[in-house]
Amino acid sequence: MEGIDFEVKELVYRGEGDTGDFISFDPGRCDGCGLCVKVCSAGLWSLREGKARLAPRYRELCLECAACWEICARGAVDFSYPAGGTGVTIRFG
Amino acid sequence: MESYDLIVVGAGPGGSVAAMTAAELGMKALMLERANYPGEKNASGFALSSKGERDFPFLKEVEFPSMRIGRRTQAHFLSPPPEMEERFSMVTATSRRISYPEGRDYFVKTMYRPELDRYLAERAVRKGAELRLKTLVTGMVWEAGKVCGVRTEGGEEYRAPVVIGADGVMSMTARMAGLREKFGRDEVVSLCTVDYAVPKERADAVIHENCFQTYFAPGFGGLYLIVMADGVHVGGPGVTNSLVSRAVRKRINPAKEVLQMINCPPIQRQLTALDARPREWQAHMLPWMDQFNRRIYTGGFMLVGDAAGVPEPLWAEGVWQAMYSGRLAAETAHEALQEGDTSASSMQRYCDRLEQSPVGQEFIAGVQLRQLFEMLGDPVIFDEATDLLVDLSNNMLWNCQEPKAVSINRLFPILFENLPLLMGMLRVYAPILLETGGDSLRKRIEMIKGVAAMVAQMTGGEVEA
Ligand SMILES: Cc1cc2nc3c(=O)[nH]c(=O)nc-3n(C[C@H](O)[C@H](O)[C@H](O)COP(=O)(O)OP(=O)(O)OC[C@H]3O[C@@H](n4cnc5c(N)ncnc54)[C@H](O)[C@@H]3O)c2cc1C
Ligand code: SF4
Ligand code: SF4
Repeated sequence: MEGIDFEVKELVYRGEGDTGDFISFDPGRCDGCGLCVKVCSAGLWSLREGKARLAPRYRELCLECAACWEICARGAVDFSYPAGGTGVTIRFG
Repeated sequence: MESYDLIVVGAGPGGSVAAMTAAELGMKALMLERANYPGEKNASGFALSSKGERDFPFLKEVEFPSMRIGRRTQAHFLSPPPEMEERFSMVTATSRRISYPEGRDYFVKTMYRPELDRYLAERAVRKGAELRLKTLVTGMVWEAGKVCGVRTEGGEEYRAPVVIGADGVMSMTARMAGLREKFGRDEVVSLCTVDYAVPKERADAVIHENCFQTYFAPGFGGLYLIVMADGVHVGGPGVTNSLVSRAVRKRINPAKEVLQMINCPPIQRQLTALDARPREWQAHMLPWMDQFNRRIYTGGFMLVGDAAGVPEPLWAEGVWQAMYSGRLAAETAHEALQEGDTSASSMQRYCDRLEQSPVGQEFIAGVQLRQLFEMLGDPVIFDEATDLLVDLSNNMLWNCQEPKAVSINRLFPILFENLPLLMGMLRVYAPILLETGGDSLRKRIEMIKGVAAMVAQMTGGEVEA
């Protein structure tokens, strides 16, 4: 963003340990509405050939807000949680 | 398999107060939390209103390193983008008219959530509750149609006649208990926050006790700037748009919107004066309901806090609500155990009590006020009715601590005085709006209906809307 003097991604902290997969995407249900792209504040969703696509590295970048799961009206996105004790650490929440 | 009297999923404010209350009542209580420590997963403003100390007097004794007391609060009104310069702002001090002593002393205390959440969980443990961290609950145990325990991802099973789901806005326990798949898209909002490190002397000099500030720009929703002892949270976008209305109607990404607003000159001036250094980026959802949620119990199971959808829908306050609902749920569980009846109808008492409690009352009044304050983001009102805006926002600043039913009463003279203006605006703008956009017209009519309903409630009569 113009004028903002920081990179969002550099200001997110994570604990040790394997999160496991915690977001699943079912392309068969996706109608390409693009709303997941709009709500993801980490920019991890994109549209390709009329279908959503989740960044393969999402485990390292996701903020665990679950907005993509919440917004999808087609049930194409499912969200559980990273394994206990792993994932995002919000130090100054 | 281990057995308890009560299992609480989630050690946020709702879960910790539930476990603390249960332990105080002599119950064997277990809290299960997925994070490494309580508060690790929560993003918040964070400002705790004086209602917290009113209803939980033990909070009076706590002092956290990050705590700052807010005896003033300020609302800034900006011109529309791209300029977004300050048009006017209002600072309000606490008032002797507030109905409870804590509210007369201060508006809010700001602090970082890990400090508060840890303190509450440790207090629950001191009272006798057990806490297991790094433990993700992934399943529910059922018996005779009632919840009677939980399973964790490691495969352990814990049993108790009552389970409380205190697992926040994207509650998996609500889903596993069959109460809902997820909140509706119009029932949540997604908020982004930037945390900045700030030298304490600067914050003392620049902010002092004015640590709870809001910014509104027409067509933009709002942003909060909350100053702790040595840090700042700038976040939003609130106050009036759900996740879906933002994404579907405005097609704006919450992160972009927050960053754009942070870039506006008045906020940049504050951050420069504070010598603020960006430290953390956070995203979190918040329930944003417009109807009191009654699907919060089933046999052997109750939802509290964000999982129940209780945050107040005008100010997005949710911690006091989580604590209050946690206490009510634990008290109901205690009663149910004494009576030997944990059926759904026994759990229903919790829901009834919550709806009638200050939490339920605040919620219902908050919905009405939200309809009214949506006009703060309306470009037409912003241009034409600055006086009305000033009066309303003064009232709004007060109602963050006053029971909202009381502050609704104070709205009556304000609206009455401005009735000619409102009617005049309707007459001028209705034909234009009819032509230009049905959607915005519907919004304005909804707004006026909201006002009519409020007047009806205040006068005890019926008003045709
Ligand atoms: C940006 C933002 C700003 C806010 N500002 C304010 C404010 O200024 N004042 C205010 O009063 N409120 C504010 N709120 C609201 C407030 O943060 C919430 O209402 C409050 O945290 C709700 O408490 P809770 O105990 O219900 O849930 P949470 O605090 O969300 O706690 C839920 C806990 O459950 C755990 N959990 C979840 N699932 C599982 C599982 N399956 N197994 C084990 N553990 C699990 C989580 O890790 C978490 O610790 C804000 C919210 C946001 C998002
Ligand atoms: S919101 Fe759902 S349906 Fe729409 S693009 Fe994303 S995954 Fe596909
Ligand atoms: S959970 Fe949030 S941050 Fe993660 S992919 Fe979904 S929308 Fe993006």
